[in-house]
Formats: sequence, structure tokens, C-alpha cells
Amino acid sequence: MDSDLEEFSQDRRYRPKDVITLSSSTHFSPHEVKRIYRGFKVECPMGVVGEDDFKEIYSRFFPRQSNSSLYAHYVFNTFDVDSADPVITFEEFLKWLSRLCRGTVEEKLRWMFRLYDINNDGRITRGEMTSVFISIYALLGGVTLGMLQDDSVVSTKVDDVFQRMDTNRDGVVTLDEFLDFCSSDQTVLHSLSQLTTVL
Amino acid sequence: MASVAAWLPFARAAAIGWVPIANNPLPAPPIPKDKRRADDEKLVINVSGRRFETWRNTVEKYPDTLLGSNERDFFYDEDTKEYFFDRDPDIFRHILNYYRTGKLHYPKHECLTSYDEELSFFGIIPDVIGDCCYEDYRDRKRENAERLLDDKMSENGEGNLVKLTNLREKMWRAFENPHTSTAALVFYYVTGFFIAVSVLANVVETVECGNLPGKKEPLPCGERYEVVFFCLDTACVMIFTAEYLLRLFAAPDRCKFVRSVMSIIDVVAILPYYIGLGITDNDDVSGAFVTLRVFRVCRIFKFSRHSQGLRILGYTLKSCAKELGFLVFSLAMAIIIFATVMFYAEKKVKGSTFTSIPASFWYTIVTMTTLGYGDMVPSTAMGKLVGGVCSLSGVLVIALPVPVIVSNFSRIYHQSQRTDKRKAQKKARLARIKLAKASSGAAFASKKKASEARLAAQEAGLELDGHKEDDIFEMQHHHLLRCLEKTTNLYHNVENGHEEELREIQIGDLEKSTPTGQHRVHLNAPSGAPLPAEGRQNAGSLATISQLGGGEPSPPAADDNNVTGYMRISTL
Repeated sequence: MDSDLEEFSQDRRYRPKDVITLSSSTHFSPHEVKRIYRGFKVECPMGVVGEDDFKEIYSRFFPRQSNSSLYAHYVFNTFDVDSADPVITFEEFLKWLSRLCRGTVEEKLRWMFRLYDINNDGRITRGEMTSVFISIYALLGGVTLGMLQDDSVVSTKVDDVFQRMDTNRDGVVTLDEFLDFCSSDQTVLHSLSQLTTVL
Repeated sequence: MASVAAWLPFARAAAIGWVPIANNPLPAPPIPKDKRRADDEKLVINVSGRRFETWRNTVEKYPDTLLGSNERDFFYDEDTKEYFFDRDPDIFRHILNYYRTGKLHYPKHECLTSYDEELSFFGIIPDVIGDCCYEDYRDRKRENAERLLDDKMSENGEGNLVKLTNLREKMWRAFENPHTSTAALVFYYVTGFFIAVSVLANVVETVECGNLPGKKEPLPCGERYEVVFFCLDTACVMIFTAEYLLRLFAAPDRCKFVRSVMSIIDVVAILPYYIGLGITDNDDVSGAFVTLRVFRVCRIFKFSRHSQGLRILGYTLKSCAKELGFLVFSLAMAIIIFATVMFYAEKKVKGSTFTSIPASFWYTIVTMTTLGYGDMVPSTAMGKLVGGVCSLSGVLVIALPVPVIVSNFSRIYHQSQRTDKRKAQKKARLARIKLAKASSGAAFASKKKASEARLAAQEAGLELDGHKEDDIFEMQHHHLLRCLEKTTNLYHNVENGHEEELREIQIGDLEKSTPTGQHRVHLNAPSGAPLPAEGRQNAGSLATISQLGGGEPSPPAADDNNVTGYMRISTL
């Protein structure tokens, strides 16, 4: 019983660097960094976000019956996490937030590539893309993952997108193919600009 | 939900991953009209002098509560630029923590009703209390509710003292509460006496009384003075039968009465006698007759009507049925196990008393309850070992459920003690409260007279020398009552004949004093009957003012606050 109770006390407490350093290494002003940190600290008093906490926080933005944990898992994997202790520190969080909110189009596209490339081998396969698409459809709720896998809507979409992206028809999408496709596609570029946030 | 507003930018950023799926471009984002960021603003909340500061974001987390909605604007003080609440700051601390952490805690040292009131004022439902404190909260709430129910029931029970005219109902009340009248008390003690006599007679008639001449053995008293005991028994049974029939007659619900425990005990107490009368001295059935006499001892249970402790004991045993059942079950298990082992261990011994497993049961029971009669004793080493283990485990098994039963009994007993004490003190408390209210009413009346005297002096043109300026509300309150007196005086003289009709009267005088125009006031009942003295009703349409007795100039004692409340609103 004592060993069970020991697990509750986690000594890990992470303190980030000071505000000025963080602000200068990202696109945020010091004021914004402070506000983001305050919000971060309320949810994660220890200064780091574990995968479960991350999933829980992410699920609050979506309807109750939705299954957001799969997409949250993929998003979590886009961060640079130490595999022995998979948590996101505040600096990591801020770095990626800065790139996604205020970064260049290329930074955002690179992040998208990281998201779809689940196993981090530099190539997106059909299966990986299908998985991510399924997780996105699951975000709204009302369908189970099993239903989505059987459904033909997802697979037709995957075929459609893959076809457009995979220019050399080798069955995988590399980073260059991905960047080329997205940079030239007006819909994608336009949509990217709609997702900026006023902080 | 605004609680994760800080993480929203990240969620929006992560949504970039959805872009490849979208065939059509995504909709345009909202643009705020001005760049002022509201969520950086701090609110100052002043609760009875203690200042709390928090982000606006924090309180807006829960928009269905007072602080989170624009209901808080009603409490905004422009001069000090803060929100002022005239409430308890200690409890407010917990409420604000609810906004901060999302968990509502219930402090154990606070009174439940005051906490509930604060919660309902701030628009928070008690169900959001966190799991850590919810059990405690629910227990206290149940206790409170039980106590209120108890009080109300006892009030109802004793409050109906006036109304019973039916003989049957009077008798029933006399039976149930012997303290209500002397006849009931006498009846109570007489039945108690006869129960005691009956039980004593049952006991004594088996004692040896000495020799009759010509017989060798001493006889028990029952047989020696047979006639005496028979007469005693008859008398007791007469009394008990009469009592039972009277109770049956008086009972409001006869079926329920017949099925109740006490009536069954009554029946079992008197039945053997009648059966015995019916049976002749036939040898075949006299054995059964003797068995029946055993049931006469049930008369002792009739004492439970007379003793509250006995009733509590019975109630405790009933409520601990589960623990008792567990005790019996575990004992049975242990007995069977040990008896079996004992039997097989002692089987080989010549002349052993352990002739069978059921025979070993007796040994096991005697050992486990640490009685140790010594009529059956193991001789083999194995048997002795088993016997030792048996007695040790017996102590444990019996000791386990006992504290549960004891604590249950203690709780129920103390509860009933408290109820009795409360009832006893209630009358005294109510009398003191009435006295306090009367004195405050007297103070109000004297103030009113003083202000009337001043107004009269003013009207007569006399000079008023330096007196304390009365509060405008007080003055208007007195004026209202004077108007009412004037009006009802008129009303009293004219409408004497019409009883029990609602009259709408226009208090013309009030028109002059209040800027809001006419008021229609419904006055229920004529001069004599007392008006319902409820306050706090919708002040716009109904003002129930407690009774002004006939033409008396002085207003009644109670309810000043309610009327004042009404007046404050109408003079806005």
C-alpha cells in the first residue's frame, strides 16, 4: 500500500525560462507570453503536460460525445517529446504555438506533415493519412471509429487527396511533394489564413 | 467553456491539420471590434468589507451563476468601482474558489443551512460540490431533514390537542400518549402493575413451597395454592383482554393495528389462558397445554409500551439485522468446520463423548463462546489443538459484529434523548422568543406614538426644538399604519355585518404620500378575525398586514420587518 501512495507524489516540477527569453525566441510579445503561461499553469500546475492531461484539455473544446482522443494523440506526437518521459514542457508548447499561430506558411505546412506522418519516417502512407482523417471525422462525434473505418467516405477522400499529392505515384507522400502541393493549392492556403487567433 | 480559454489558441492552431480534408475554403474568423482585451481585467468584489480580486475570466467561467452573468451588475457600486455583497465573507471564499479551481468544497465547520443559503444566493446548485466533500454534505443534509421531520411530526402530534371530540379518538390518544390526561396515566400504571404481577406469579408458582402433610416430596407453590394462582391469572387476563379490546376499538386503522407487533404480543400473552380453559384434563393434550403455558412469559414484552429503552433496543436489533445475520452465519460456518474436525480427531478414542458431528456441535458452541462446561473434553493431542484454535477463533468471530450493533444502539439512543430534550425545552424557548418579539413590537409602538405627537405638534404650528431627524422610511411606515387605522375605523363602523368577504379598498391617504399613484390593498377578513401574518409576498399586488384589533390605535407587535420591506419598495 505504501508503494501505491508513493506514486502520487511526483517530484517533477518544471520551471520554464524567463519571459524575455521566451518572448524573443517566439513571435509573442512578453504580455502574451505571460497570459499564455497563466492559462497553461492553471491546467498543469507541475509545469508540464502529460498525454492524458493533453487529451482531456483538448476534449473540452468538442461536443461531449465526440472521440477527440485519437486526434489529440496525433497532435501530441508532433511535439518533441522525450520517449522516456513523454511530457510537453512549456517552452515546447510555446514554440509550436508560436509557429502555428504566427509562423510562416512553410512552418505551418511542416507541422501538418509531422501530424500526418505518424511514425516520423519522412513519408506519409495511405494508411497514415486514413488514420488521421478518421480521427478528424471522429472529432464531431456521433460516429464510432469502427463505423468510420468501414465507411467509404473516408477512403474516397483519402484516395482523392493522395492522388493529388502523390505526383510520382510511388504510394507515399514525401515532405517535398506535400509542400509543393499545399503551396500551390489556393484552398489550402486560404484556409490556413482563416485559422489565426487573436490572443 | 471559458475555463480553457487560454488553450483555445492552441486548439485553433492544431486545427490546421484539418485543412487537407476541406474541399471548400474555411469560413472567415471573427474580428473583434475593438482591440481591448476584456479578459485581462480584474474585478474587485467586496464582501462585507473583505476584498476579493480575481480575473474577469475566472468569474465568467460559469455564466449561469450570479457572478458570471450580468446579474452582478445589480451589485456594482460606481463610487468605489467594486461589487459589494452584504454576505458572509468566510463562505464566499469557498464560492470564489469554485470559480478558480472548478471544485466546490463544503467546509465542515459551517452550518449547513447558512451554506445552502449562500449557494442559492449566488446561483450555484449544491450538486457541483466535489466528490471529496459531497458525502459529508449529503449526510448532514439528511440529518437536518430528519430532525426537521421529527420536529414537525411531534408538533403535529401535540398540536392537535384541541380538536378531538370523538370518544374513539380521545381514547386512542390516551392510549398512545399517557401524559395527556390523568385517566390515561392511571390506566398506564395499572396495566404496568398487572403485567408485573402476572410475570411474578408465573415465576413464583414454580418455587418449592414446603410439604403438604401426607406427601413425601415438596410441592411447587403452583400446585399447593392452585386456586390462588388461578384467580390471579384470571384477573390479569381479564385486564389484558379488556385493554386489548379497548385498543382495538379505539384504533383508527384496525387492520394496521391488528398487524402491529404490540398487538400480536398482546394476543400471544392472553391466548394460552383461553386455550387452557377450553382444554379439559385429558392426558393427551395436557402436554400441549403445558407447552402453551410457556407463552405466558410473552407478557413480559408488554413492558415495551412502558419503557422507551426497550423499544430502542428492539429497533436497534431490527436495524442491525444485517450485522446480526452476518454474526449468525459466520458462527454457523465456524461451528460446522470445527465440529467436523473435532469429530474425526476424537473418533478413535474409546468411550469418547464425540459420538457424532451434531454431538460435537455442542462442544464447539460451548468452546467458542468461552463457556467451557467440561462435559465434553478432547483427549487426543490433535483434538486439544483443534479445541484451542476453536476457542481463540470464537473470541474473534463474536467480537467483530458487536461494535457495529453497539454503535447503532448508541446513535439511536442519543437521538431519542436529544428529541426528548428538545421537546422539553421547546416550550420554554418559544415563550422566550415571544417575549423578545413583544418587546421589539413595544419599541416600535412607542416610536410611532412619539412621531405622531411630533406631527400633531407640527400641524398645530408649535415650534419643534432640536430633535433627531427621523429616518424617512420610519416616518412613512408610521404614516402608513395611521392611514390604515383611519381607513379601517371607517370600515369597521360601516361594514360590520359582512363577514368573511374579500374587500378591495383604496387607501386614499396613501395616494398623497407615495408618488407611484394608487395602491390597491386587499385586506382579508373583517375586524375580528386574525389576518394571516405572512410577509415577503409580491409587494406589488398584495400586502398582508397583521391584524389591527378593532379600533385600537397601536399596531401589532410582529411583522414590522415585512411591512417595512413593502414600504421601501413602494416609495422608490
